[in-house]
Amino acid sequence: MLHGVRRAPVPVYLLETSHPVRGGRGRELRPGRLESAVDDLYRELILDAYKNPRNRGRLEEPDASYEDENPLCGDVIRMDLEIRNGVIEAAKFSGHGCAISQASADLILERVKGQPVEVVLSLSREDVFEELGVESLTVSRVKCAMLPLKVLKAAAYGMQPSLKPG
Amino acid sequence: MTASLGRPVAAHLDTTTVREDFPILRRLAHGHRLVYLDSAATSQKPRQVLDALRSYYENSNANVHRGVYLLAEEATELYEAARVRVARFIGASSAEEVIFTRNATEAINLVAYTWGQETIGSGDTIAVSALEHHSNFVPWQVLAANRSAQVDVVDLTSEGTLDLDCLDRMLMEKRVRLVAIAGISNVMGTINPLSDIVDLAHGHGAMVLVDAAQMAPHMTMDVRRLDADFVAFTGHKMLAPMGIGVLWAREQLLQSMPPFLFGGEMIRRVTERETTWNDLPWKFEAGTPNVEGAIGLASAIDYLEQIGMKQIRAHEKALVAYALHRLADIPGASILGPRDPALRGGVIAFTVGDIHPHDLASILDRRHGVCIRAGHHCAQPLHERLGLSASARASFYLYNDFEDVDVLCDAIQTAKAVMG
Repeated sequence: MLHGVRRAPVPVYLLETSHPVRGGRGRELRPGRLESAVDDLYRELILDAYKNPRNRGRLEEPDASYEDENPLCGDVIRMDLEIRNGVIEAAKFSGHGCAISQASADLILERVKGQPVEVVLSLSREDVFEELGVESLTVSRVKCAMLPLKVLKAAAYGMQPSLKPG
Repeated sequence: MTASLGRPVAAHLDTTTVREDFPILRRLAHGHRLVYLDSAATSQKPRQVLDALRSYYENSNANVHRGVYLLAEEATELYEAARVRVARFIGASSAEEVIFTRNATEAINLVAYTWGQETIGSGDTIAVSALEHHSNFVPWQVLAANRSAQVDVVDLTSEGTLDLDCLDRMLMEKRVRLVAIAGISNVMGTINPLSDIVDLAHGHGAMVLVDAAQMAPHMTMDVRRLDADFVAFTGHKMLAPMGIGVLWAREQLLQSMPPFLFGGEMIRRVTERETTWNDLPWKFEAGTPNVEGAIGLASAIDYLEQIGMKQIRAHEKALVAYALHRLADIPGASILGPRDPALRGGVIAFTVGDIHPHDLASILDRRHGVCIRAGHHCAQPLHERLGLSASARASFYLYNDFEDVDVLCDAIQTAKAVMG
């Protein structure tokens, strides 16, 4: 019947908010304050990385750089890497976008700094979610979260080596 | 409901009754009352339209213009009656002037690929406004590139209205063959002075295409009085299903244009060597059409006219006036486009401090069940001019009430607290 009140089933990908928060590596969580925001994507971990990024900026003489954007929302991420003997010695990101994309960039760089370049290749969507402390994201926000890893991989593997800072 | 916070009472239409016709408004969003403020993207559908679709499939479904049996005759009658209904709604001279397309984008592409390919030549100019949706921008860009022509963009005033002097200069200095213009901007909400634009363009021998996607759903539109050459709009923004759009042009002009897509339905006679084309409007409707969509559109028009287009416009104007007033009280909120509600449709694009519009939209949704659009709203050139990569947009329709505006403003305050 079209007239009755019918609640549409909620698609599975919309149900990501009820999961416990897990911290990204190298980030201290204060569970007491997080609990109240546990049902919300905009929790302290993401907001803190967004507002107080550790890795925002540019490197003067990067060994690898790459910049890309999300054409749907105009978010732009640039990654600069300094690589010594196959190890990421320094890494910075710049650009603009939503809290999810910017926090994702900061947290993923925090994870790969000091690691062999090969580690970047092995990173997956699940690693990004882990860093952000979410179990999953809605289809549209996955793109925001994944842009930094996409740019990082392109930078690390020299898909665009000609893109030097200008 | 008693007015709180100086909330006005709907005077132009009974939103309580209207809202009961829209089943989706009964569902919850993240546990909250659904506040749907994205009708500029697509409208919700009333029970009456859903019933018409169901009734068609349960009673009359068959392919149109083919069979001679009862169902086929009924389906054909319903489909062609829908065309007549649309023609009457927009003031067309005849139903032959109403071409069903998939959407406004396809209607505009139809013009670009038929009239455009035949008419636009080397050195010609196509004038578009800086307000255009990509659908009324990219087809002309591509056509111009193919024909060694150029697209020139008509500037905006600082108020966000179209700079008619700029258009006038363009018409005088260049060989402008077409002015492609939105009736109402889907970002700024600007209502363009179409009659002035049509007069200017015609005075210089240029044709006018009006992208009425944001206009047809929200105000009375009489294509003969408008006097433009092409008018395109879509059904899904005016209570009809997705996948049905309309191109209107005068019969004589449509007769002179070559067909768009080729195949069944659009032919008169096919031999192994050559084919002749069907009469209007079927010449432009190759393949099995969206019968369900056309029937839904006719039902949507019935619904809209029963409420009254003047009442709908007045209601949205009151909502926008109230929303502009409330948003002005939120520190950091900045509104794009004209300040005068008389100059704008039911669309308000805005930014809040340096909160990214995606974050704003996500928080509004999760914390308050408010659906707004965030991004460039398919108008990247406009956002580039404004120096923005994105904006947030709330858009209203007949089922929105003043409470929706209050929830929107409360939700923006929440977002400020979260992101602050």
